[in-house]
Amino acid sequence: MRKILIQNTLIIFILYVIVLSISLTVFINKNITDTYNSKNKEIASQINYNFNSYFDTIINTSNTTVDKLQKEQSNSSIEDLFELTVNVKTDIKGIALYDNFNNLYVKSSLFSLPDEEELNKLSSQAKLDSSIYIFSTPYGTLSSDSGCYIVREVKYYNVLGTIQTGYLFVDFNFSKIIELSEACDLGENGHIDIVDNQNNVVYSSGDIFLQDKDIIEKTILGETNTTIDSNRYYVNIDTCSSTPWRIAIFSNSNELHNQLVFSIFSMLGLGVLAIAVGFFITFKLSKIISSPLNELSKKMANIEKSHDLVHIKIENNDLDEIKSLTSSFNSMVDQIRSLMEEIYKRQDDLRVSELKSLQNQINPHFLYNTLDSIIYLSETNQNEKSIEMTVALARLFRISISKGKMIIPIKQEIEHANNYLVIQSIRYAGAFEYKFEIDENIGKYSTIKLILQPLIENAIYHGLKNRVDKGLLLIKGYFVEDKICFEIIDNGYGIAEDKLQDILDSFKKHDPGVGVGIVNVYRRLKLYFGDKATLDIISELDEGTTIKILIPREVEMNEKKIII
Amino acid sequence: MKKRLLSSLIILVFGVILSSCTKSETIISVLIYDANDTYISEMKSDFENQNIYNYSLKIYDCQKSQKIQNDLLIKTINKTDVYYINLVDRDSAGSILLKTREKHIPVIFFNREPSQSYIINSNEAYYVGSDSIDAGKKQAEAFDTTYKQALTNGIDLDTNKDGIISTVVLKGEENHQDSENRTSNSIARLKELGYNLSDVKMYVCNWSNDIAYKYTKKILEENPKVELVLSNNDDMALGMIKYLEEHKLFEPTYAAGEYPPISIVGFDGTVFGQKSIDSGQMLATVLNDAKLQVKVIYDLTNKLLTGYTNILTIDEVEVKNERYFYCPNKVIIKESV
Repeated sequence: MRKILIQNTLIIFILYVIVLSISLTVFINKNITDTYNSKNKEIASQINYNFNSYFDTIINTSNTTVDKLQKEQSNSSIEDLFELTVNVKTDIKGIALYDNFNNLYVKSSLFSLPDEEELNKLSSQAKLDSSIYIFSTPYGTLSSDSGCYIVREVKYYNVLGTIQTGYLFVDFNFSKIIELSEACDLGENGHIDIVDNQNNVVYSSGDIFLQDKDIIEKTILGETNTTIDSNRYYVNIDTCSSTPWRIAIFSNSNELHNQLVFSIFSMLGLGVLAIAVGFFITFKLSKIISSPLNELSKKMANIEKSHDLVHIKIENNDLDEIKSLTSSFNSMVDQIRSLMEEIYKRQDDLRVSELKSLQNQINPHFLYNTLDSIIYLSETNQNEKSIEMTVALARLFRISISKGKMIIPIKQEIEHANNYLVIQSIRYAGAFEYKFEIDENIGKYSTIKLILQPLIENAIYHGLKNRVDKGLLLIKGYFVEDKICFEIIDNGYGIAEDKLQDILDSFKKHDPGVGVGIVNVYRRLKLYFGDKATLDIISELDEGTTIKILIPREVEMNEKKIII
Repeated sequence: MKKRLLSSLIILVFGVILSSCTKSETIISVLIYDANDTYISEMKSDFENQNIYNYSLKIYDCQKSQKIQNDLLIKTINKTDVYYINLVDRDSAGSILLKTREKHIPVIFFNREPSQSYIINSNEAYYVGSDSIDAGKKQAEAFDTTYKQALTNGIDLDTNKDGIISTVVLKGEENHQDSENRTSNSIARLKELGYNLSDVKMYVCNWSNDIAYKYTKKILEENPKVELVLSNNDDMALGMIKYLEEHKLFEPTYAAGEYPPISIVGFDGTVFGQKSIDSGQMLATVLNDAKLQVKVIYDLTNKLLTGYTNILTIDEVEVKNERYFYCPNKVIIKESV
């Protein structure tokens, strides 16, 4: 039983823990990932915004310069324009104007000259589209004075006042970009790459561009996740406004990964812990329940086997239910014991009284007195009377013994009484007269034997034998409601009140020692019928005695009834 | 019961698979620069109305943001057969083409011209639009024609008769191909035609009616005697006109009452623009033939999808460098409306 208890509980519990753990993990991980991703997106868009703003500013300044340039009429005024712009705008390092043949025409004082190859490359590109700026690759990115050129084809007035085409070179502060890149908190090894349309690096704040390049080439635009050198990165690539470049932001997402792994492991750990605790509790609980139950059932089985009706005590039990079971069992045991004792007692009583009545039946005095009488009658040739007496005696004993049966039909009991009276009336000839008033219908009902004869014997010996005049004995038997009533009425001396009391007291006593016939009859009646039978004595001194017996009406009576 | 459930499930799954397999429609994703722009929204309707090849057309508004355009590109890249892109940031063409090249998706840029190098260097990129150099010239010619016409009616559009046309330019955008070209070419052509222009001031109004409206006060303050306004598009011109009307500066002062006191020349030929010419507010405009451009885009798409020869030709259209399809512009002045 314990096994099933444990099994079922554990299965359900483990399933529950697993489902809970998994769904919690999934839910939490998704939340973590979503939060992380949106944070990354935010950061990326902020970074992009900053870069875009910076470049927009540069472009705007340059546009203004281009517009103003077209209104200047002399070299010096152009130079002043450039100088002013450089001074006012800290992001602009220098401005220069080259003519159509790539010769330097005018420049601001701090303009750092590009080399010839670069110059030619940039101006030829600028020639193709006069409305956009051509970006060079930045220079000096390892120093603090990094710069970058933007070049645009422009129109200006030369010294002769004719309009010319030339190239405006604006050198802007690239250190600012580097600062912006390095200021971003992208986690450990997080970095920014600026790339051009050939996926070549313009600038990288990290040092793993060669590996970055693969992912940049593959993704081109948008976001993705990747792993480089066992670092996990969230990558976001977007275009940079006003420039032909793209910005690739590599943000370290190890933390995310670690958090996810941590959450999975901790869920796992918690789950295992929960299961372990569950196991422990289940085992413990089941033990608490099942061990006292086991003990109880074992002890009950023992009692069943050994029929040894002892109290059960369960050690180490805290369960009230078991306690109450045990005490109920014990009180049941007590009841059984007392019932059994009662049975034994009844059986004992019965045996004893049977024995006694058996003894009474074979009263030796009565026997040889009667035999003496028979001999006397034979010697005196009173053959009829001797035969009558002999026959009566034989019948008397036959019924007395009744094959050892306890129950006989009332008819036989009456016959028995009659036979007795026949004998006694011959012996004590003339001492008394007797009469039977029996309702013949009661004959078929049953009774215990030898209830009438002892009472009649009493009546004769104590009431009628020594009377001066003739005594009268009346035996009645009739129906009363659902009972049968026997009355033995004599007009003898009666019973003295104190003697009557003694008799009545003897009824109540349980010791079978007293051989008084009436007590014997009373006891046997009670033994067999219990409260359903009554025996009453009504007596008046010098007037007579009536003994009234009431027994229930039973046609068939179970011999075995007493032996439960 | 279970069997029926299972079999209906199988049928359902099959149905879904089959239906997704039958891909008969070509999906065109159109990424437009700004759905609120008058000209572009007219072009959008033209796309919808002229879809003779029954392509599955999906139009997205990029709200003037290159980032949004990039995101839309990424979002739609796996379910697009051809892109029509109205670029926000001209410099981003390179990056966009890198992405579409991966999937061999042809891109037709329209209305906002990317830098040449991008288109030339990609073999699946095209541009359909108006020739902006020609556009500028036509604006100048529009003014010229009207000026001459006005003279025949006894009206001199040089209102102060000082021989100088005081001119102001409403610029659409800095560094924008069309904007720059229209601006510089209209001025150059006017000078060619013999007009003496003042120091021409430029005001960048971002193609916007509202911004032009707001700037008008400043423009009038800085240029109190302005006679000619060359606007890069009709919307900005109309913004200015709205201000002038509201401040009662636009009462015609000539007996004939047919020429506005300030000559405003727009570009696009939108419905509003043409109405304005009818009512005598805007002097002239130049038609940016959206309907033709849309037709060209669709025809081009059709040729691309059904296999193409190396040189594409489409009637009525000038093809440059095999990739640029310039639709001609037409002057619109009051008589011709």
